[in-house]
Amino acid sequence: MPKGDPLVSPYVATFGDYKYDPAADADSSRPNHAVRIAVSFDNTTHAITGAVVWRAANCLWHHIVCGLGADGTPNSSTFDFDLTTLNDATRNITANQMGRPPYNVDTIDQFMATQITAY
Amino acid sequence: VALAIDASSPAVAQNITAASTDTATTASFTPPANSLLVVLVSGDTFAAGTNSTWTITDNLATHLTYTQRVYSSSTDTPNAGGSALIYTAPVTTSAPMTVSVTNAAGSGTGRPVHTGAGANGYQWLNSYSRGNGKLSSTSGASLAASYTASANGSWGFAAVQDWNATGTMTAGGTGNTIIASATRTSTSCLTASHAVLLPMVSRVLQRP
Repeated sequence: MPKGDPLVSPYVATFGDYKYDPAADADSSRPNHAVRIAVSFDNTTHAITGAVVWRAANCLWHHIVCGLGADGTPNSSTFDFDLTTLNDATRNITANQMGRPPYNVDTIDQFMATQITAY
Repeated sequence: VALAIDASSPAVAQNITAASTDTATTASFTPPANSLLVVLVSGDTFAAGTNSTWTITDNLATHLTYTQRVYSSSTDTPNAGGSALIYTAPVTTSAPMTVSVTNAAGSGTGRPVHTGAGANGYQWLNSYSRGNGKLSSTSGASLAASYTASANGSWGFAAVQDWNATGTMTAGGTGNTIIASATRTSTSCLTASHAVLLPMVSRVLQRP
């Protein structure tokens, strides 16, 4: 039963580990014990204009993954944002990068056509 | 030793597609032996006043035994949209595993765009404890569940669905906290082309 509201940029997903406590975060865009992705897009055309990923240094997770891999787990998905080198830091991903392998997504609709999680 | 949420607990998994059946699968995790897996689920329904068919499984050769502790559904008064569920499963042997939860449309065909009912939220709140309580509202800005804990040092869990996505959720009371969230910045159920919001989080309770 879709709510019917228009999809508004950005799409944000945050994945916390077992110590995640958003109420304790001074800046919700840089949550502790969490990784986060914010995908910006054109509200009319839905074309992706870029993305920003964040990883807190104290977070157990190092990857944000979309879809499932060949073995049926998210861990083996090639649609993988590797955040291993990020420690309390963000990284920008351009629209051009999002449109190339391994992501191959040009619109927010394509991005959200698969599931998303983190590990 | 106090009961605690184990560090092996996986991140929330979420899936929103236009498919009539959607599944969210956690990343692989390895719960310790003799722990309890608590799976908190919230998602959309496919039409007002009807239920989705929810199923849960894992990728183990011998599946864990899952017990649905509570299910707040769209057929519960006052027929608010969305679902919230809690499953538990005892883990006797430690092994790498994933958990998958599926939301199926069942016999539902139409997915009409809901016009909403004012500015207040459609909210579900499930609390699983001794009472397996549940409550819902189509107008309240908050829900409060009370229960008597089964023992000192025990844990209470709630799965919440705010179908109307009125804003960032907060956990009231003393000592309560949001352990995972799939809240969108603007909407939860999105457009007609994205009919299902299916966030799922698994937590492993460990008592050494």
